[in-house]
Amino acid sequence: MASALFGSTTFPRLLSQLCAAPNRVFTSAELESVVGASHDSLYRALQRGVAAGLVSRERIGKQHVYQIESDSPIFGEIKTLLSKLFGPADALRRALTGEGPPEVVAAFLFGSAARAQDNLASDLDVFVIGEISRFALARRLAEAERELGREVNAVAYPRRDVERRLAEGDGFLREVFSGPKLMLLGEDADLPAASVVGD
Amino acid sequence: MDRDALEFASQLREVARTDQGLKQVGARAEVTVQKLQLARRWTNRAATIATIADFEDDPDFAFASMYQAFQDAADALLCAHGWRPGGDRAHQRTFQLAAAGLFPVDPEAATLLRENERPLRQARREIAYDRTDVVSRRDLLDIFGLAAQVLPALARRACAVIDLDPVPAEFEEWAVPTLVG
Repeated sequence: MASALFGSTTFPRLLSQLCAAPNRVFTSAELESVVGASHDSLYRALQRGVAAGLVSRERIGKQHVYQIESDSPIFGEIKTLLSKLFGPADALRRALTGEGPPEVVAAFLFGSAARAQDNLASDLDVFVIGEISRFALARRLAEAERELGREVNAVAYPRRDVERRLAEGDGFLREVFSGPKLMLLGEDADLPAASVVGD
Repeated sequence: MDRDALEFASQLREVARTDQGLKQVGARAEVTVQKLQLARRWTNRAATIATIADFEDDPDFAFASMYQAFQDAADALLCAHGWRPGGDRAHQRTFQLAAAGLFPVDPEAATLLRENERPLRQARREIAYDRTDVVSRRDLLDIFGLAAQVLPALARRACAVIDLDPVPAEFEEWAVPTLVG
């Protein structure tokens, strides 16, 4: 939906990140990392944001820094729209921030939310790679669940278990790992590949 | 029955007005005790299974057994009050209502039950209906830790509600087996 509305996925993700921290300035390298976009894609999105008056650009020393233009007359509306579009991922990411390895090595949304086929009543399926238990994880995500008003089904397995089960051809894990994923923490490229199975 | 139990009994009657699944079964002391004994037995089964080498790669088995202990212990507290949730969401209602009944006397254990009932049910549902290898060893360690705090509290409360005096040592001094990593 975001792509259809904005003509790209990077642009709304960029705006979402900037809106989430309106008092902060970001370097393009920081934005590349948090938005998860290539340099070129991010650069185009920043240009669009600046042209639309939604993003301010300032030169500090040898680099440019970027910030959401919170004085823009449409800032409020844009923020609300982005919150609806990216609320779940954003809220879940915030809930998991603070948990690092070995408890949480990587986390992603899978299922309907990752396929962008969810609606506001859909459950959110979260997969965590790490040593955290599903009970501790549920407590971590409880606040986000209340905030979103949606049920969060979260599972967690240590990486070695994930790799072993993928290698054994576990149906559930194969489906999860070969399907669309919306990364919450960590990089997609660092996840065990579904193809480690005896294909 | 103490004042907290009377207050909770009144709340259960209120809930039953709108929750058609909550059935009055009549307070039955002997059934309450039987359910607590069952819960205790399930914890022992879970502990035994969790430590048998043959089941080392199947933590789901021990987890499902411990889940049954939670279910029976929560059921016992509601049975002590003369009620039993049925129909859709029966397990969810059992846990949530038992947590509410426990809260005035043991808020810590009640909060643990309330905060963890959903991941408990979710894992048990997946084990029962969906797939294998649902829980990790870490999950198993956690459910044992949770059981050690919640189940004896439910048992003591159920015994108090049915005015069991003295409380049998098996419940008064119930120590859920500990599982080590």
